[in-house]
Amino acid sequence: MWKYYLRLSLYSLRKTPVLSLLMVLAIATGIAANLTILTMHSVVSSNPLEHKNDRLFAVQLNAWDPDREYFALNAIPPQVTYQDAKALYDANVADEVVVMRKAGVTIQHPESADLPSTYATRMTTRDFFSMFDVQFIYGGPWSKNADESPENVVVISEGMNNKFFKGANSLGQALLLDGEVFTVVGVVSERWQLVPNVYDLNNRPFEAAPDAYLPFFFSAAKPYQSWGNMQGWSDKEIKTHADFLQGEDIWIQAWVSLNSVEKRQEFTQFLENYISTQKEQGRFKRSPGYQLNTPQEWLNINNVVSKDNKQLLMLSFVFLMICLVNSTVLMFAKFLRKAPEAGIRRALGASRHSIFFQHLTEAFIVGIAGAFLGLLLSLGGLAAVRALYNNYENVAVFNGFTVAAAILLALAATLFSGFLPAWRISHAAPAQYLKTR
Amino acid sequence: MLKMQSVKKIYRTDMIETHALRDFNLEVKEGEFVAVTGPSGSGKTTFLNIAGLLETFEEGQYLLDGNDVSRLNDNVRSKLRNEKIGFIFQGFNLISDLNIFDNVDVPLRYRGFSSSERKKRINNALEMVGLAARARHLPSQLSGGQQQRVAIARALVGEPKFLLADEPTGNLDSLMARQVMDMLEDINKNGMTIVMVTHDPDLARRAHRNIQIVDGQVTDFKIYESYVDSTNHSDNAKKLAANTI
Amino acid sequence: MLDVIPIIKSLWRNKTGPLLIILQLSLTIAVVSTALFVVSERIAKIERPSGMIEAEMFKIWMRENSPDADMEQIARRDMEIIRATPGVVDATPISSIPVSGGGSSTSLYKSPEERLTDFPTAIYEMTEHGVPALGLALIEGRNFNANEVMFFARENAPKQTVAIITKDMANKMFPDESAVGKTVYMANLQLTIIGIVERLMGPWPDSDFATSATIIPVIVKDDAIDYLVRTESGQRDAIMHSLIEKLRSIDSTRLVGDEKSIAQIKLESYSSDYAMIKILSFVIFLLTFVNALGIFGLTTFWVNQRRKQIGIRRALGSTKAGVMLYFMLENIVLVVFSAVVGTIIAYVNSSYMARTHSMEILPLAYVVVTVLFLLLVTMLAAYVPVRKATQISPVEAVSNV
Repeated sequence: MWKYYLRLSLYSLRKTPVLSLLMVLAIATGIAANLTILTMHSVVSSNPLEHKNDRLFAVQLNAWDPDREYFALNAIPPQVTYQDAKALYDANVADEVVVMRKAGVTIQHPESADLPSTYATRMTTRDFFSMFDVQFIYGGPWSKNADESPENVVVISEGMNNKFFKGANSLGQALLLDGEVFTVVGVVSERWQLVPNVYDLNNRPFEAAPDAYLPFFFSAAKPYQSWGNMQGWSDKEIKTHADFLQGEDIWIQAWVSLNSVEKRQEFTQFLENYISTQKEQGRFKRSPGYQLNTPQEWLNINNVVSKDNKQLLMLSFVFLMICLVNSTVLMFAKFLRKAPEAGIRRALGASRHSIFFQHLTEAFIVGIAGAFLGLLLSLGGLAAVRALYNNYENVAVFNGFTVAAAILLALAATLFSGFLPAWRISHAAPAQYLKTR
Repeated sequence: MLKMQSVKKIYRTDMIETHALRDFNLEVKEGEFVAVTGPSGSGKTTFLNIAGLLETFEEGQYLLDGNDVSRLNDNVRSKLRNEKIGFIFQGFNLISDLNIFDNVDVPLRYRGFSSSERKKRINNALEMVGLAARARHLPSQLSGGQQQRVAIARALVGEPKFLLADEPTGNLDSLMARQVMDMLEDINKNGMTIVMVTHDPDLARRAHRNIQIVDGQVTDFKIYESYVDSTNHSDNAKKLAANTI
Repeated sequence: MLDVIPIIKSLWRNKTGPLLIILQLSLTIAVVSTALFVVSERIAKIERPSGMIEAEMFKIWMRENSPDADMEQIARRDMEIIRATPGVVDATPISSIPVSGGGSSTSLYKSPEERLTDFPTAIYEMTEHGVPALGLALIEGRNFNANEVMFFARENAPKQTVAIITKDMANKMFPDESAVGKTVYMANLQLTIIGIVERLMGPWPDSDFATSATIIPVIVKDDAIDYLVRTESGQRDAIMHSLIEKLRSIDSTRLVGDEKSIAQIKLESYSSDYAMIKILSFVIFLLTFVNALGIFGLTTFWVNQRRKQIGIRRALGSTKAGVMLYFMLENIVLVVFSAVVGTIIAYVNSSYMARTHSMEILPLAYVVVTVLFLLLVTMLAAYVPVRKATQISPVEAVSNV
């Protein structure tokens, strides 16, 4: 029977080519727009650390101005001060602890005559690499010692390795960082890219992975050029770098991994103790004194899914609905015109079911064609989105999700746009169409 | 074969109720050729639609081939219509987009026959009505009489128990009308029960029995005991008579 | 207009099709009016004047690359070279670029003790060339003098200096009197306000205090700073590229690069707004298109379905214009019903967005414009098939199809 319905449907669609094309175009437009936005949204709203969501925590400490609460996000500063970062690291309580910042560092090959340039680097403790699942093509993280009394070691990106060493294994090679000699100990694969980059959501959540990584505690020795956010509230005069380190400016991101319930209790106990000793020194006057956030909570607090993203998502569904209603109207008009034929078929023994499924088959073909065309158009849509937003290279990417969504949307579109007309024609009284026309 | 007892049918619109049939009683025996006449609006068509299981009714009973078919669901009614009833209409009601072969194929499709069985039956049926050579033509390429013969082939292809004809010659000129009537008579002689709605008394006279419907009720009937017309058999009708059942 | 009642009755008898069309049109009205409003808001936001003469400006980023380098010397020498370049109007070193998304902010206070009322402001450090280089309109007081400009290392921070503030900032701090001559406090720095400029945007266009800015002539010697250059009209790009080459060639103790026009910077920092404008405009275009196709298709079918009826009307004396009028009235009736439903949908959505996302309530004018626009589109879309309907001959009424 399906083959018969299919034949009749194809025949019927060919009989009204313009109308068929209009219906397919309407559905394709709706699905293309919806897929584009849905794909973008699925990436923007994803959590690349889902598998560690129960273990990783972004640490917020509230040593902010006693007179007024922090002005953004959840009213607790999103970054920590140097003294608190150092305390977190030194306590050695968590299974892994990462304190880090974004800095601009001039990097140069010692033998190259090219003009140096400045690159986005992450100054961090070594646990960063294991905590955020960094993949290496050569070497690996630096040692614990290199963290504590910083050694001149650097991990570079595959892109930098290609640039300075033409892609060869560069372990043990030297690079000049802000004029000082550093030794390459690892090269990070260009496949490693968290989208969004949960670990630092202060600036652009979708920017590319860093060009280089170096031990965080170099920050204590001299003021590397900050490419991140620095915020302060205290009036205390800062004359020297030591003043700055002792001050209340926040500029460091802190993360811990706590792999067991006991660890979690131990760590919160440590934080509470730490805050109460700090209180004695006149700090931490606000409450709550701290907050631990899972990667998902951290993404939510930082509004990675923007107001615009949400609006566009809603819009894309309404848009799809309009397109589907449009196709329904056209299909309705078409089926009504075919009502006499359905009446004859009924008289010759076709049940309502047969008539319904015959017409649903026709709607289904239109839906499938529309979805397929929509899928193709959404490729263009995603390219357009990449062109429109200057940091969405990793976001607007065609993926398995898009294809799965296309199939679901095709089915939904068929049901939505074909059901009513097919139902209506299968329930029309056949007798009225059998009289002489 | 067909028995209606106290059938009542009401059409309702927003404002008015029309009693299309009321206390309607009728029995048609196997092998009979019955003509139904009556003024327009009397309920002839309603009767035909109910007899053909196209419409349901409010009260009463309808026995078809000995079975009560008064309150069946759409699927069962469609199956009965498909297997036991053949329709012939004044306007032929061929599907204009489908060629002759595919038109005759329609009832068989809903029967679920294999494709070779369908092909055999369709060719036989078209042969019967003398249009086998036109199988690939579209209805619009045929004359009115030819179209009605296709409709007859389509009505008979599924070997129904009885035939419902609604003004079968109404759209035809007199020569073609006679041919179609001859064909129907031959079919009847081969055992087919036929119920024909018409407003033409001449045509009605050629049936065994006449029924008049007025105001939704059967008012009287005349019986023409053994009406035989032996002079006007067309070649096609002879062929048909030889092949039918 | 008595014709309208039978049209509504006829639509109601075949209600499914018309109801679907009304659903489609009303959703379209809701979406298009909302999208138009968002687009116009974003355009207004982008077109807010920054206070600078944007078209002719670019920036260069400079970073010292040697431990012995003195930023003041480098900057002063580079400035001389830049200003001596033909076509350059003026140039200044500046701590951060307006509307660029990166910079620094702080709060001003009216007294050193009472800290409860703070006035948040963007902070720009620049020389006496800043006001002319940016093209700021000084509406009160004076510009900095050369001797007020000072480069300092963090350990020798000055205790006091002068400042120029924006009119918005001045109005907030001193609503009833002139701000010129007043003393205000910024952390440990005491500022005397000497001038007021009409307008200067801070680095963050989305911030609550986007139009509050404070300019001071004391420049901290960090290891990097931006140069802001204004050229004569039409020479921006050429000068930008040649200057970079020239600055690189004279000294390797510092890096120069990251040169960008203000137009480019604005494009980047408003990129999500531009994206919204483009996406929504495209959506409006597509919806118009989809609806036009829908109306075209449907009217074609309606006309075909009613050929006989139209023939009868013609036979009974209706003129071609009468047939046209009938279909157009039908169209108007549909759009009017849709306008009512669409307005309700738009306002339900708008009040929801206002509550949850603190957005502005949709002004009615946008709905009205959308409805009129859609009416025009549907009439145009219906025109071709309806014209065909007027060609139907009265003969069709009597012939059997």
